[in-house]
Amino acid sequence: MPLREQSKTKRREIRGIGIGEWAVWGKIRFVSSEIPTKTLAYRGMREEKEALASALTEARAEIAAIGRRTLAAAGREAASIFEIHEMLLCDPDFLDLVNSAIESGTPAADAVASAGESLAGVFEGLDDEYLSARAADMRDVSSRVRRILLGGKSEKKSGEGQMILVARDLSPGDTAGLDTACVTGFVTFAGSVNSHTAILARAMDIPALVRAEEFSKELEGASAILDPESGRLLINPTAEEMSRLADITAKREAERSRLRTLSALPAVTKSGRRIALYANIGSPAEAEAAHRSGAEGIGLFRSEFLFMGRGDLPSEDEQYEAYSRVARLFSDRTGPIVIRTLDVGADKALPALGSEAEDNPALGMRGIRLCLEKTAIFRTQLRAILRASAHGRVAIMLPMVTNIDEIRRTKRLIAEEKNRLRFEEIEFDENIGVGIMIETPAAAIMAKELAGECDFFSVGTNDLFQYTLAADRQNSRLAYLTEAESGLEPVLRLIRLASDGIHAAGEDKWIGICGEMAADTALTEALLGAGADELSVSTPYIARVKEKIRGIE
Amino acid sequence: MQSFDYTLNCTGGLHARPAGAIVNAAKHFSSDILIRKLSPDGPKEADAKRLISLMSLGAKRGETITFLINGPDETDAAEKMKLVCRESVG
Repeated sequence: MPLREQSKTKRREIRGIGIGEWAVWGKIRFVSSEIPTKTLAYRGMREEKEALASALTEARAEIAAIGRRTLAAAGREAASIFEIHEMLLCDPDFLDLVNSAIESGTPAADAVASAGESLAGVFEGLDDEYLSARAADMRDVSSRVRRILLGGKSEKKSGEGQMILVARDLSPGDTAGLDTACVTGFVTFAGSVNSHTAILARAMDIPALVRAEEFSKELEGASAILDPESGRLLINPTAEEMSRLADITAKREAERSRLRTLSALPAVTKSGRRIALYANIGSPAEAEAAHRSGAEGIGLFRSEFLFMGRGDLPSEDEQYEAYSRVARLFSDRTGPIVIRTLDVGADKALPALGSEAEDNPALGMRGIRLCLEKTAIFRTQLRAILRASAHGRVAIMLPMVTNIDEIRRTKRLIAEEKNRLRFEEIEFDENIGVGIMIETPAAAIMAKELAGECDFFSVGTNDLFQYTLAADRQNSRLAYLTEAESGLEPVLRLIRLASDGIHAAGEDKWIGICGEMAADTALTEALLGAGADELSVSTPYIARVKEKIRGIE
Repeated sequence: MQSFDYTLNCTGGLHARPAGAIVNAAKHFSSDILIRKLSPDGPKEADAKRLISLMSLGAKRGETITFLINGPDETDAAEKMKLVCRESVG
């Protein structure tokens, strides 16, 4: 066999940095940079500036179109990359450079190219990986304008069959335009995991290998497996490697179709019992992913993020903005947005609260106990939540309740703040729900009585566990207590007791589980058996828990 | 004149998304909004209404930037910038 032919069929391994989860197969196809090499002569300042203006308008329309496509295909975060491109396109620093080059006799296309290159150079010179990765964005924008000026069309990279594209680098715009029907993955010799190209690849679910070892164009058309997990491109894979890939592909397809079907299906057991499946979030930023995953509501919105890591306290307006953002986002869903009021204490100290040291912080001033002592802070938060309730089905949840008087005192504060809002003619939901966390055995045992004062309950299993067994779950020497079946039983019995009491108190009262136990599919059946109406878990667990619920009788 | 310091806590420093959030908010005010960063070669300043200028500061996680706001709506602008820092910059 001639040497050349041999190298075309020889098995080779190319290493790089993998992006994505699943391995894919395709034929190698090299793409060269498509920036035209031709130049146009200078036509005079006015003509060049007019050409520039119309090219900028066209580029803006292209970027907006890619942004819309990306939003539909890969979500808001991925699409925001193209908002940045639009800002770069209109940036005065970029336009000043272009205009002054045109004024000194450079054709618009060249002026755009050199302005883009010099600003990309500025980004590359920054001593920071994330920031220097933005050079690729600047180049993408300027080469788009240049291409339009030179009369080129935006080209969609497509072709026949399954292909793995290989390029020196792909711009974010190119990546968003990839035809996922035939491009199974891509390999770049340059690039970085922090580039927008990499972020898009993840969001679009296209596996990629960046910073790959270079290989020659002779391998055009060769069969290859891209395995992002091990960061390898296997060129001319063995029969064994191909059959392993077939297994992976089958698994991936089964997983994908399962998740696709699941996100649209209700969380209902085989016998028809409907379970509310909500998401736990810790900040408004997490709400979007929760929304995308099909969560019907927010079962636990921890408000601590607004208070932690700072010396002062968040203002009412700042809190209102954060709460109402989530309320608006979920206004198209059936479930509520349950905001848990500030849950800090001696172990999670807030500098702004000036806490005193306690001998026994787990049994000390925390949750509602602290809020009822610092009523000014509590009132500010309650007002912010009330105001946010004008934008969606918001509910208030109180942490660490042990006693009915704590609920009554809080409801008095809520009533007073409602009065003030009415007087100030500020909108809020008159029927806003008030509920409590069940974290103490006392709250579980007295749930029937407490239900006279509240609309819903949510079990914080981590704390309920530790207060029931008098054992710290972090302490590995106590694992024989906390990890044993026998340790679970008393907690389940308390939940059963609470749910019986709550359901007896009123048909519209509900009890949910928002602690770690809710996400443990080995316990789903037991929790539903104990009477839970709702489960609230962090976003990645929603599909799995839903699948489990649907398999239960 | 209003001014305040903010210490960046976002992983990538003042990269595209957070810088974009600042520019989008700053554009609505008529006040001049400058962001200053101290560096070994002396202070560097950027116009908060210009993305490229802002990203070129190269402000990284853990570094402190100073907002200098001057103009008729400086008080509102300062409040808004603080909000953007906490909510969108990190």
